[in-house]
Amino acid sequence: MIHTANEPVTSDVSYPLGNGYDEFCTKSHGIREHWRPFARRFQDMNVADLKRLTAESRRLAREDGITYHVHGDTGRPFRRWTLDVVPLILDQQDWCRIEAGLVQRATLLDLMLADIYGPRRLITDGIVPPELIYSPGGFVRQCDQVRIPGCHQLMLYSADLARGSDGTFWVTRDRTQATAGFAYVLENRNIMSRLLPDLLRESGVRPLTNFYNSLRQKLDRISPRPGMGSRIAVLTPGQHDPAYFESAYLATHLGYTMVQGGDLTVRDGKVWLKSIDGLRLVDIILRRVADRLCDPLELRPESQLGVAGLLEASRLNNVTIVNPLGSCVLENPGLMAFLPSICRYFLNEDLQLPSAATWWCGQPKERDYVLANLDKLVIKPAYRRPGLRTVVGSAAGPKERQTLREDILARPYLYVAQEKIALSTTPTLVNQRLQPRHSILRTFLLADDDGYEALPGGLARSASTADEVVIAYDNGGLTRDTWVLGIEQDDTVHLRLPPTEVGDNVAYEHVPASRAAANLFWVGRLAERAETTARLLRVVRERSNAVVGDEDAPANDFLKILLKPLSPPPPDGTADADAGDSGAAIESEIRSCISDPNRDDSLVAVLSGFIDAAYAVRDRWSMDSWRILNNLKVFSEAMATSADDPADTVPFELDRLISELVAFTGLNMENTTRDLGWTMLDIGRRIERGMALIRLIKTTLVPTYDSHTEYMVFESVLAATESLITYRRRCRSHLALQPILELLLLDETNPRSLVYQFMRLSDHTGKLPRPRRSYRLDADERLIMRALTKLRLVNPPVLTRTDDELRYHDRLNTAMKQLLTLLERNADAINRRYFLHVAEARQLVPVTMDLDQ
Amino acid sequence: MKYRIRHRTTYAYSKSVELSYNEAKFTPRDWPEQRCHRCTVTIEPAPDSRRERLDYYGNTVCYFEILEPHDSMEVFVDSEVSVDPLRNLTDLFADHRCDIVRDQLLCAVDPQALDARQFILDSPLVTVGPVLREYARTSFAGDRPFRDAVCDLNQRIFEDFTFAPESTTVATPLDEVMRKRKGVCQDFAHIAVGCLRSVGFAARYVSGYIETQPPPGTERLVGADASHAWCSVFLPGTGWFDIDPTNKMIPDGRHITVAWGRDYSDVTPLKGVIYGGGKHKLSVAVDVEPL
Repeated sequence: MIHTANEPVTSDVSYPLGNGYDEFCTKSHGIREHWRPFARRFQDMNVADLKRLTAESRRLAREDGITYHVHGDTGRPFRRWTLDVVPLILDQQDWCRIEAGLVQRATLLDLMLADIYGPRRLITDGIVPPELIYSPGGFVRQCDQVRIPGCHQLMLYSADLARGSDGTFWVTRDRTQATAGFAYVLENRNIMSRLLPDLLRESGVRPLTNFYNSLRQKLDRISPRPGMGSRIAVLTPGQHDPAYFESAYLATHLGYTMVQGGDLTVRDGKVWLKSIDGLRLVDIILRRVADRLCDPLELRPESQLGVAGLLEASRLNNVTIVNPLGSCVLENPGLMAFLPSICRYFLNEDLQLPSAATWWCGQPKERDYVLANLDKLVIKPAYRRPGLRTVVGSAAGPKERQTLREDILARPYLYVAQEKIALSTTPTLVNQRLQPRHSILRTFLLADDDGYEALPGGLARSASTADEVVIAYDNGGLTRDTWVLGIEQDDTVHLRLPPTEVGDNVAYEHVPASRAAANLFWVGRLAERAETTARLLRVVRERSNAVVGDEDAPANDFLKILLKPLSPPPPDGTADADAGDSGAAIESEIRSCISDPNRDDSLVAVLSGFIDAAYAVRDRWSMDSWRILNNLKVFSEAMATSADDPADTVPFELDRLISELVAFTGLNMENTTRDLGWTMLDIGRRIERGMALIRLIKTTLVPTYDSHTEYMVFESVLAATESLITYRRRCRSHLALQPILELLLLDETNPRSLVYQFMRLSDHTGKLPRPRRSYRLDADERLIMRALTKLRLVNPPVLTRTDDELRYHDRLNTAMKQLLTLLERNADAINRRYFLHVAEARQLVPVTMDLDQ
Repeated sequence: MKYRIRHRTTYAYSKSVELSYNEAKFTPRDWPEQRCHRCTVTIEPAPDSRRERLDYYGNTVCYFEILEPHDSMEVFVDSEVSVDPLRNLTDLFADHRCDIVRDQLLCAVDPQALDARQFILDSPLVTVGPVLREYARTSFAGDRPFRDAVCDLNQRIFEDFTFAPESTTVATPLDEVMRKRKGVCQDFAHIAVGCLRSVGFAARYVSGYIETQPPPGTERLVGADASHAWCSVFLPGTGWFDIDPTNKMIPDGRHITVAWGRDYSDVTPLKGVIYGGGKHKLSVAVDVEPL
């Protein structure tokens, strides 16, 4: 059946139903009751509508910057999040069953965690064989008898669910370390509520807001100093972590501080944040770093992601780590084989949500069964370890199966086999038509005072092709929002997330970590450098296009002069590198200044550094700023790839680039509170703008020219510094050095003037935190004071005098040199005083050992 | 026997260390066959924070932080210990066959045996491979008395391997020791542990000291001793028994136990994370004095 533009898309006929369970349709009764409002809505849409909807969802996801491999290494591009606009819809009845089962399972896993790191009755009472718990990679001996405050150990829990052919739900995986995916659920809903707000409302979809608000309250309650306004940090492995987006998203939306291991330090058994205003106590750590990487003293010695002494601080209950260190022990799929008996042992109940049928090879009978049925089972390592991976028996060749057999016989306790579960299918939009695709659902739970609270919904993921059954993040699968129907009384009707930066924990001041401050400083500097460079190149290119004829060499002279501040200084004793005189040579030089990857100062290199620094403080940016950063990233990548193609005009879209940069700056000026983080960013910007201006003056206004060239240079310099209009308004058409210098150096009302940058720097310097030990000024204070005074005392008529022999403005040259030195020393003083300078952690006794045990 | 043990560990750094976090395991254990009468641990420079606790295995751990820049660090331990001769291995193992001991271990339900079973599994520094298993099988035939098999292994390691200080470091993998047939007490203890595990028995690594006899007619030299390591094997229903493959002996009251664990990584006497420091020079002096 071929759809035309006006034809309804969804009908029972056009949906090719398979043999398994389908979420949307049944063979006998057509579309399921709870999908009908959605189906009706889709029937009203034509192909064009659907195309628009898909394109819109892509745009929103891109602009919000949702990525999985956010910041992959070169050659491995970061992966964008793909959201299918068709949600997975669950009715109230199904959800109640799932919810009750999940709550029971979380309760059970919590009891297991407390027991395994406590009395270990499960072992002594013979419920679980010791080898299952002690299997390498699981139980962390250093965490024995460590407890976090409150009635639960397992604060966050996440389970992957699959629906079998008979319609029952099965748990395929338990996640108990960092529950990855929560932020993506919020973001998927955020996008869906922008795409189909009325449908969400009419269908009575339960909102996610309550769960997310609970997380904040619950975390505050398990602080080591409850009620004191706890400081909560999200510990991330850094911007190369696949789930970096998620860490930043949680930090931004929950108002926590995002940190890396190096931002924290242990002193006196307590954990402190290294901020630009000294050390600040940290109460709770929401970790996204694996258990064994969190403390190089007691755990994996080579880890640079953790904090030495962190486990001791947690042992002393001076910091609460969520989930507690050691909770990886519950992620062994082999435990699933024992869950029914553990459930009876602890709760005296039957397990409500079954797990996939599981055999742990540590028991002889089970091992023999697995060896005899390798081709029918999925073989998983008990714990994720290097060299061990999941093998689908049916897909393995005879040789691989033989190796596996030998490995299992040598260390049976490391292997777990599970039955393949037939996954249900759910409708997916493929070429504007609904097609069934296998899918699984990741759910999220949070410990509550009297039990567990489940997020009503979850992250549904689907295979991208019809015959694919194994679903992973990294093979291009799709995600979708999950709609749980049946809005409840205590569900609020706010379908969108609360705005960023509202937090219950505003009891402490927001002092940026030293590393974050350094990154903000560089965001400021590099954003400004990109803008300055782009403006200058734009002027050069406009003037170059205006010059008629390629062979008009004298007219090209001033263009070369203008490009000087962007060119690396020539090696001593050689003449200036000659760019060639022809228009083509100028054009090629401009192109090189824009997109040569081998030049440190090319526009793409500066933009890439700017975006790197911005990613490193991902949690600081509002959605709007983030959108601009993403556009800039996409744009600068396009500029970089076009470097070799002389016909490509992308690099010359400098207007567009400048607009985006100005928008970023504007948002920062208008929509950001003037906290210390903002101050650092603005200090970076002012220092950079000052330095760029001095360099421009030194290279263009210090030499003397013939009157024609002089006119062109003066005009271009004023244009590049955004001061041409002001100048014209004041001095009409006559261009002369002295009024130009007055405008560019001394005019306090000109936000592009040097004195303006120095005044701002002086203001900011006064606001930076500094412990006063005496009345003496600090180095950065002294330097900016000297620079500002020196600048104010310059006398333009003197500066414009030329040295008769050398034919250049030597006074101007000397003044610029001195000011540049002062500014450079000021930048250096700030760097030394406020940014992080710690040596890498090293082991006293170097030990290499088998990983993960 | 009663002993006084003095153990001094000194790190001299070429550049100042800014921060240092450490864990020291030097305090002799207290258990029925050994009593620690007193033990003082002195740290220079004085730590800014310090705390003692028992680890998972019951070994005493001293955690300390030094937060001021320092050019050297010294840990000095002074303790007094009494050790009883161990029960006679020959009698206890007399009628146990290897295969029966192995089955008993896997079927036992008493807490001690259940706890011992974790010591059959691989550990960070002891991963059992085919070479080790092949080497161990020679000693452990199914119907052989367990006592004979263990003593045979103890003797073979002593005879097949050369004691060669400087030939290995704590980072030398077990496979390399097996290939070179050279090492120090740590390596021999690891080989014994690995062999016993490879054939299905529970074995742990023990660190401590041994009383050394000066050559006849010479004075005992103070500070010439060293830390020592050996192996302990589990017999279901009875308990743990030590063997010392470095000296081809069954400890008889002259071994002083400080700590035990799965392997060296669980009992490292002094480990730490430092920031700064450049190169460092380590010196260790141990003195075991009979009282």
